[in-house]
Formats: sequence, C-alpha cells, structure tokens
Amino acid sequence: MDRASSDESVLIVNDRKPGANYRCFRPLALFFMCFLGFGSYFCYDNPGALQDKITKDMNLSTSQFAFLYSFYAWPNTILCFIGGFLIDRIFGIRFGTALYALIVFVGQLVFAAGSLWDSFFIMVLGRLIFGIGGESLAVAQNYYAVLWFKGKALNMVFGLQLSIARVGSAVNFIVMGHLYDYVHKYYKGREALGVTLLVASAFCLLSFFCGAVLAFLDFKGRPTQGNERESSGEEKKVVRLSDALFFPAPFWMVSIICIAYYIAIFPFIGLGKVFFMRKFDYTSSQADIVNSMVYFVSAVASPILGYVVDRTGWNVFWVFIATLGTIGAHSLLAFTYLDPYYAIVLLGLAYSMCASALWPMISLVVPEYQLGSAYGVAQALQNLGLAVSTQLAGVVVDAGGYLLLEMFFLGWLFVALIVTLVMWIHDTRNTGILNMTVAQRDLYEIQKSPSMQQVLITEDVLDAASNELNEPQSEQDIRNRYLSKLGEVNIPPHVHRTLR
Amino acid sequence: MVKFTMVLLPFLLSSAGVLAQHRKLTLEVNPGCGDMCKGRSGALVHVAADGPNDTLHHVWDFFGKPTVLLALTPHDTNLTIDWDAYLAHQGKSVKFTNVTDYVFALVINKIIEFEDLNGTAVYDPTAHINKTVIPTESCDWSLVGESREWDEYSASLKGTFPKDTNNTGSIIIKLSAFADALHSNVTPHLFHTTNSTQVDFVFNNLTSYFNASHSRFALDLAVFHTNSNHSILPINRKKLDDEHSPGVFTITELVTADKDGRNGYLQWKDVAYWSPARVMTNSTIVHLPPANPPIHNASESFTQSGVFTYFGEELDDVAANTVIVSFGTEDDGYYGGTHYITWTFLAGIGVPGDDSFSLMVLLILGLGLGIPAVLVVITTGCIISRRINRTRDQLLAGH
Repeated sequence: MDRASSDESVLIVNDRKPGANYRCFRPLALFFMCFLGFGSYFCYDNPGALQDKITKDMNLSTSQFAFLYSFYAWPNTILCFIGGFLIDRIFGIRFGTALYALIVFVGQLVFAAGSLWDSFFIMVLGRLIFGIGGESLAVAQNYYAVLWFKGKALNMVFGLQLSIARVGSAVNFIVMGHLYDYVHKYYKGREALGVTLLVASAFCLLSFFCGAVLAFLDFKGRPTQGNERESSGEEKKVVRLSDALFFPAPFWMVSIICIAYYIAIFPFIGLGKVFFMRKFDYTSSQADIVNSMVYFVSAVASPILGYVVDRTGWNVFWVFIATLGTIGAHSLLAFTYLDPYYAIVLLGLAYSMCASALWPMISLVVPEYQLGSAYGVAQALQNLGLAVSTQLAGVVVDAGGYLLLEMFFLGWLFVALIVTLVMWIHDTRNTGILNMTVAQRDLYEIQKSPSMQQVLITEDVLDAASNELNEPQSEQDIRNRYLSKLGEVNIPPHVHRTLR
Repeated sequence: MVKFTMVLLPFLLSSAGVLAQHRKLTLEVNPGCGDMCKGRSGALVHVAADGPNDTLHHVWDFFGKPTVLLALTPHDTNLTIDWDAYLAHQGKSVKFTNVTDYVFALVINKIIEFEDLNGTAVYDPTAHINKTVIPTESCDWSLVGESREWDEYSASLKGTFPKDTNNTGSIIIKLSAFADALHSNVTPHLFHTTNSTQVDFVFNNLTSYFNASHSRFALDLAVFHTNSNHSILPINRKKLDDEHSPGVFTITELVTADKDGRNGYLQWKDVAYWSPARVMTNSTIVHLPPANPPIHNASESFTQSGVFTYFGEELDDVAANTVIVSFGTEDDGYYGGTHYITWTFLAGIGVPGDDSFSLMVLLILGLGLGIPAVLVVITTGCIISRRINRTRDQLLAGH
C-alpha cells in the first residue's frame, strides 16, 4: 500500500513502533482496529438480511427497498475524496474515527426510528447518515492500521481487518433473521422491525467504543499526532481532481471494470434473499445463510487469493478469470436449479480474486504522486455506479422479475469481460506491465531506470517495454514504483476501503 | 452458445407456430333470448372463435353455477338455445348444430371460507371443521361489462350474495377469449393459446363469518371433459423464466387424459394477489391438494349449471373431477388483511401454452458471449503475431 507520504514522515520522526512502550498495546490496538468496523459492516447489510420482513412490514416494492442501498452509496461518491483529508486537516485521527463511528451509530438509530414511526423517508435518511459515517470509518480504520503497523506487517493487518469485516457482514445475515423472529414474539409488524434494528445498533455502539479505546491507546502509545498535520500539505497535493484528465487509458478501463463488476456483486447481495426464497423455495433463514456465504468464502479466500496474486502478477489474467467465474456463478443462478450454494461459493471466490487483482492495477498505470486522486476517482465512479445500479436493479425486479435481474447483472459482467479483454489487448500492444509476472515487473522497473537502459536493452522480457524507456523518471519515482510492485507500497490509506 | 440456441429454437418455432393460428372472434350476450332474459339475474355469453381448421365456442354461462364451456366444432356450427327449457334448467337445452369434437367445461361450484388455525392456508375438507360453504348458484350474477378489443373479447360478471346471508362483498369474474397466442396484459401475464378462456377471479370485500384474523378462502371447481376416464394429472413445473410474472417461477397445469389427441387443461402461475396492485410484494400462494377426486352422479348436484343444460342426464357419464384451490401463505395477514384476493388462470383445450425466453434475454446472451469470443481471438492473434515478430527479429539480429 502506497503509504501516503505523510505516514512516511511519521516513520522517520518516530523510529520506535507505536505502542511499544506498553507491553500489550500493539495486540490490543490490533484487536480494536479490527472490530472498529464490525458494527458498520454488520449493519450495512441489515436491509439485505431482512429484505422479506422490511418489504412486508413497510409495504415496499423492490425498487423502493433498493433506496436503502443506493442512499448508502450516494454520499460516498464525494466522501471517498475527502474522508481522509478531513481526518488530516480538521479532525485528527482520534477524534475523526470516534466521530465517524458515532455518525454510523446515529445513522442506524435513525434507520430504526424510521421503522418505528412508519416513515420510509426517515429510514432512507438514516441510511444516508449511515453511509456518510460508514465509508469514512473504513478509511479511518485503514489509516490507523498504517499509522501503527506500517512495514511488513501492514498487508497482514489489512487482510485481518478485511476478514473481520466480511465476517461482520456474514454474521449479520445469520443473526438478523433469528433476532427478528425473537423480537416478533413481543412486538408486531414494523415495531418488531424497528426494535430489531435498534438491537443491531448495539454493534455500532460497540464500534464507537472501539474507536474511543483506540483514541486512548493512540494517545498513550503514539503521541505524535502533530506530524500528521505537518505533512498534510502533501496530502492536499495528492488529492487533485484535475489530474484525472491526464490519467492513461488503462486507468479508465480499470475504472469501468470496477463499476461494471461490482454491480453484479453488491446489489445482488442486497436483493438476493428474496430471490433465493422465490426461485429455490428457501426459507427465510436458509436464504440468509446462502447470502452470508459470499462473505464467509471471501473472509477465508481473500488472504489466500491475495497472496496468489501478489506472488504471480498476471493481474489482467486473474481479473479475466474472476469475471468469467462470476459470469459462471450468475449463469448458474439464472439458468439452472442447481443448489445456489455452488454458485455462491464460486461467486465468493471470484469476487475475492477480482478484488485482489483489480485494485493494485491502478498503482501500476498511474504515477505515484497521482495515486491518491486516481483511487479517489475510481471509488467515486464505483459508488456512483452502485448508487444508480442498485436503484435500477430494484426497478428491474419489479417490472421484469429475477431472470431479467440476472440478465442485468450478466450484462454488466459482459461489459467488464469485454473491457478486460480490450485492456489485455491494449496492454500487450504497449508495455505489457499489467500482465507481467512479479519477476518481470521487477526487471522492468530496474530496466526503466536510465542507468540500466543501455545494459539490458536486449533482455527478452523487456523489449515490449523498450518504447517506454525514453520517459524521464526521477529516482524517487522509480523507487516507489518498484516498492509498490513488491507489495511494500500500496493504495493510499485514505482511500483504501476494506469492503471491496 | 450453439447448443443453447438449438435448445431454444424449438421453443421459438413452436411459439411462432401457435402465433400463426389466428382466430376470428364474435361475441354475443344471451343469443336469441330477447325479452325473456330482461330483469333476470344471470347471463350467457357466447364467443365463437373461428380458426383455420375449426371453430372454438366459448360458452360462459352464469345462469346458476358459473360455467365455462369450451367446445371444439367444425366450421359453420352454431349454438342454439331453447330458452324456455334452458331457464328452467332442463337438460340438453343448449346445443350445437354439428357434432362436437371435444368439450371441456369448468364449473365454479362453491366458494369456501375456512378457519385456518395453523396458518398454512392448505384447505383440507375433512380437517377444517369451521367453514362456510357458499354454493355459487345462490349468488346473483350480473353482466357488468363486455369489451371487444382487437385480440381479446371479454365479459365481466359480478356475483352478489342473497340478502339473508348479510354478505356485502362480491365476486368479480372476468372472462376473456383470445384471437392470438400471446401473453395476457394483466399480471401474471399468462401465456394463452387461442384455445383457451382466461378466468380472472376476485374475492372482493367478502364478509368473514369467523374471526377475520384466521379466515382464508378456497374455491371448489369442477372439471368436466369428454375424455373416457376421470384421471386429471396435476403437473407442477419450475420455470427459469419469471419475466412475465416477477418473482413467480412455478406453473401448475391440470391436464386431462389424452383421447385422440384431444385434451383439456387448467393452467396457472402459482400466485394470487391480495391487492388490486398486482406486484410481487402483494403476492401470495395458490395451493392445490395432490388429489382431485372424481365426481359421480353429477346430474344431481350440477342441475343448475351450464354442464347440465348441455349434457343433460348424460352428465353422469361424463368424466369429471373436483379441483379445490386455496389461497394464502403463512404470515400474509389472512383474508382479513386486505379483504381482497385475485387469481388468474386459464381453461383450455389442447397443449397448454409455454413461456420462452424473451428476445432481450437472448440478445444480452448473444452479444455478451459473442463480443468477448471475438476479442479472445483478437488477443490470441496479437500475442501470436508478437511472438512471431520477436522470433523473426531475433533471428535477423542473429545473422
């Protein structure tokens, strides 16, 4: 992960590891960092887990129900640019994190209150507030990880956070239905729904508690908050929208794949429950378990597949395979009555693979100093895509049923597949860096450095790249690029989001 | 993809074949009755559908138990009714001028309200003790509308209950005959052939005789057909396609035993709606018990119905079955939730219609798989040509 330069300066100032002066601070911090996001991930998919109940109790059509997801995504078309910036410039990491956790909690409370007061408008408003807090909290969570665990352990910490996040989503699917049934014994209809959501908000309170503890640990163990502010000038330089105009073509292709691919994942999980109940005659709780499988598989597979991609390179190839796998999974759901477990496990594997292979590609095609805005733009576009497509998906279900919904997802996956192939062709005709093995990339980077140009020019793997060699590069650029290929440096923490 | 197209091709061709069979419709109400029918409750609607090979007569008889009688006859066959005898419910007062090829009839026999204590909505005549059975001939049937659109001729009838029952609700039945094989324009958009009558049934605001919070409704239907034996096979099929009936994947067909290639059927998607807005969230389930017991001595219990006026005493020899369907699902609020249930089904002769994937689905699949296939070829080409170029360059450099 490309640590934003701000963190690097912290590292230089502080040669001691944060929390090292107290014995159990680092494991404690790791624990609270992982569970910081648990509440927001748990509650993010509450609507999906209760879809049948919500639509019945609130008497909603599927397209109305979809508002609950699209209004989560809307604020994040902008917030992914400024979430990290706000932490740097205004709130500071300790207060910022606690604040975001509090916003998440308030959002969930408003969501629950909307159900109690029988106002769908207030429910949607709650989801909007929840979305404002949720994405920013994910950013803050990663920020903490970078501040405390940069270096070799960082990827592992990210992986751990990711797995806990997925487990949070999965547990939601398994618990919420039973919780509703239990509450339903004492309350009826939408009151039961409201009370259930209120109980779920306890997890958000727990996250807020984690945020508060983290602030304390951070205050005690890493008393260097000033440094973040000092270096924030550079942060500002990173986030510049006008850079976006000059991004290379492969960046835009990756962005299109981000949009198209994830449409077939998240809106599907949101609307999947009733689909499993209607097409496969699953009971409400069986459908929840199937839905949760995507996240469970992903929690296990993400670290493994991430390792595979890190070791092999071949990013375009893996994205291609992941897209094919996802097409296969959706085709199984659309055109067969095969037990959806198979399709969902395949979907979970493919989704983990795609997440591991797709996002690092941006760091391969965009210069280091523009990475912040590049990831910001890609995430904004993705959130925009999710906001619009979730809404559309609801309309498609109401008007044309689930077969057409699956065709809608397949259509987007075909777009992702086509763009992947176009990117592949574009890549082979240019540098070929996207689909190199790790070793080839290392060679490529070394060879790109001006001093090596003459020496290695006839090396086999390099001739595709030779036309790029006349580009002037600073030593710093080359070093960063080289590090990012090794997995040392990665996505800037203020934009990296564990959910994807 | 090729295999997929080959699987689909017969579907497309067969639906095209069904489409080709156009029927010309004519609709008459109480044909030849004159003043006799004025001021009486009840109506008889006759739709003659002239096809290329034969004429299908739809007789929708609402004097007595509502009856849908479908008769396949040669061309130039007329329906004749001896109205004096007919209104006195005498047998064989309704006739066709030629011998019929095949007759299939559906009688809406009884409306049953039952107390569903365990909530499953599956009606069991022996287990459900608390029930009210309303014989449909006790209702007052009146024609409330008729329409002649280009491909669909239809009649709407409303049934109200005798004053002494204090039931202020009504039953509304809309019957349609079709000129072409198409999807109906009302949800669940059943695919009808030209050989079928569509029955759209509404239980509107019926008074509950029990605790309304446990009240369910069921329909007791009787099916009569000129097949030699009583067997009628329920077939429950899961479809891949819910495009025309969002969220509903199951289709149920009851098909009579085949005789000389003739048979009748009832067909429906397993869905009823508890609100006039027929959307997925307002849907509930249609239950059909596995057994459809044969009816014996029908001429006694069905005297006041369209099948007796047609078959007369011979009705006892006509194969007949009882079909009971009930509506509801657990936690749907029972009938008292909205006081409304609507259910649509088809009664027809021949092979039931079948959905096929729409053009949109095929188009997305075709383009979505076709374009990447072309691109894969291009990519492979690119890589190979690069390899060849490289080897050639190296060879040249070597020399």
